[in-house]
Amino acid sequence: MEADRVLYFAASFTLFGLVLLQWMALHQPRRVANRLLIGTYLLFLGIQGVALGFSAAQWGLLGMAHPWPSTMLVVEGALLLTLLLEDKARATGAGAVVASLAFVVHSYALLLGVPPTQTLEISPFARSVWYGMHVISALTACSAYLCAGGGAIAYVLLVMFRATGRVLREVSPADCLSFVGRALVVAFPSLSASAVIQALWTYLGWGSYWTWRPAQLWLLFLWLVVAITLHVPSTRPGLRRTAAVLSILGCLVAFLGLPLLGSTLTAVW
Amino acid sequence: MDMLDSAWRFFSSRRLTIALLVIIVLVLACGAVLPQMPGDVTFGSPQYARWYASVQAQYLQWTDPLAQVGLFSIGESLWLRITLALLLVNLVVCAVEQAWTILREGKLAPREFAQALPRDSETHTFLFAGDPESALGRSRSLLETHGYRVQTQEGTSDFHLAARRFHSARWGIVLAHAGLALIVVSALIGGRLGWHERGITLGPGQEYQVQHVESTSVRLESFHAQLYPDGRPRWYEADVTVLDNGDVATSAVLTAGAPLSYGGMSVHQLSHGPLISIRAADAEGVPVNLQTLGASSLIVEEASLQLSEEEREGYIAVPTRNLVLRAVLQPEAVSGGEASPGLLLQAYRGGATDLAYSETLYGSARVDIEGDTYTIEWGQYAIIGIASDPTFSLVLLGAVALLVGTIATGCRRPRSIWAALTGRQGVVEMRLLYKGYAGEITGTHERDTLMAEIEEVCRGG
Repeated sequence: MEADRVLYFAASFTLFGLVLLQWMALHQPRRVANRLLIGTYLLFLGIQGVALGFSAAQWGLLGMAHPWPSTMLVVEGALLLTLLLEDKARATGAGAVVASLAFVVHSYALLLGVPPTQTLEISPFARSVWYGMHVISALTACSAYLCAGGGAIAYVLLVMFRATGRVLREVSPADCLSFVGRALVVAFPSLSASAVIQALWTYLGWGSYWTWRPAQLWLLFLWLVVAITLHVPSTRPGLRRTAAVLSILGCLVAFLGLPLLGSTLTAVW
Repeated sequence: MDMLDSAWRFFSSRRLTIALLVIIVLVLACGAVLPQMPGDVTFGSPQYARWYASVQAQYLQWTDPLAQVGLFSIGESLWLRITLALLLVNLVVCAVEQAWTILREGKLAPREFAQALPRDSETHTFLFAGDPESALGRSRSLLETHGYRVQTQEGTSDFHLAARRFHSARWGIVLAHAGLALIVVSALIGGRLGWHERGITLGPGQEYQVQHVESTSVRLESFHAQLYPDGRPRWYEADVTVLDNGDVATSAVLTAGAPLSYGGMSVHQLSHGPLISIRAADAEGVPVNLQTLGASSLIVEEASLQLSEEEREGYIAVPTRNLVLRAVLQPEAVSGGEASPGLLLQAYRGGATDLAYSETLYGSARVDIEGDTYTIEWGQYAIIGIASDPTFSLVLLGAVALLVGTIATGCRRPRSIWAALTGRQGVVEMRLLYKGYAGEITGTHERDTLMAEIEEVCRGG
């Protein structure tokens, strides 16, 4: 087995440990030390980072736009953002759901995904600094959306369980929504940057800002979803739920469309 | 005046923004599902007829109604333009209103500052024993340590405090709206002012007269396409010269994504195709004249055929030998993991259907046909595009404003706090209003913590 594959499996095990620790911390905060949680986060980020470094050396920096390594990059980014955005002083439940979602995505890519072949035939149009910047900002946005989706799922679950009386008393749904907002604040500029750079890349390549190619449609669609989410006022509970549902929808769109991002890497026009 | 007010309220409404964004999402969904008319095809042209026939084969009796509604050319449809125009007005009104609010807030005295905060701002009221003046001082110090710019106003029995943090970052929202408005304006007018000429095929040495600019032509000096083993492109290099009234105006080596700009137009390297060059010589080595059969039937010593996936065959006449050569591009044959394109070369005696020669050639070759030597060389021709978009600077400006605006708002999140303290018989009532940035779903923890801290310092903690 190749070194990077071994490292990805090691990262997967660490991530599974992190998921368990996150859920334990939610139920019994005193039994799981904050330092242990942060240490596990850093361990995962380190192993996954080294594995990604191996992949970049193998397929080149542009090769990281392929759906398989880009999924791995998104998981790394999402966990890093969770570490930065989550309020460590208060358990929000968002971190646990994000880690669980990240584990599902990571395992799916590892077990069922198809890594790029050695001879990745990169299109001459993709050999551009603009294309690289567009992909990096889109992946950052997807990472932020994974966080937002996780936080929104946590919010919806908390609101549902609160209604039925089965509730984690220390965890506040408002904190979950606050986490979603922070993640969207990262997602929106990243998506804007990605859409703008993609339009510039398209203009430089073909002389037109807009094409009906799936990758460009997907990005604009995602941008519109996040713009709608940020415009929904969250002053009333009903609207907060709408914002949470929109965040989950955006997260779904982001992940279903992620392979489209890499499709332009080897496309022939 | 009432009508104007109503119109202003309608266009500054966030519901309108959401509704328009939802309509655009639905439009995009239609564009994703239904085939869209290619950008280089114009209504009524033969290309349009071909494209429309292919759509008809797919959508049968639904084609005409869908086309009439504009669902096959959404970018050109009136209803998308109306939606974008409404969004433009909405963006401009929101930007103006935001700018007006920021300017007005800056001039308000602390006592009046509550008017600037929205009705749904978070409120927190509490009572404590003590002196309102010292509580005001302690609150001021606390907020200043948190990075707020604080103003206070003292009355006879009431005291007011207005605090702002990252106030200037609110201009980011205005900037983002204005930038987006510029982009929408460009989208609305760019299609009318700009033009495209795509699919221009040029072999080395060939020249193309630009249709939209009579004095300008483009000449391909040399072209090189680096290919992967399966024939897919890896890298392009097209040495192009732009001629203005026959004089060299500028030249550059084009690669994919690096166009040549001249006089408001840009020349783009788009694709490539196989170029077959044929030369003939008799037994003594004297060149035999050839004639390409097509729009320009010139007698030349070296004839070229530009073949493609759509037009796989070409003809060359050899007038002095009464021969016609037929060259047909063959599907790529894989040999040893590498795909090599083949060329079926056939020679017909003029007026007869009997073959004088037939062979499939792989790569450049020399063949003998009736005593003459024919040299067949494989090369590549370039497919270029020429475009002009006068709104480029506008789009770029809008994009920069949008990016700076969203990043500024995201990084420096503006906060405002207003407090009113009223003292009566040793008991102080403090009313706090807290505003994050418009419609935010963030900052609950920060707000709760800050309100608790203010309450604590006021109580003398």
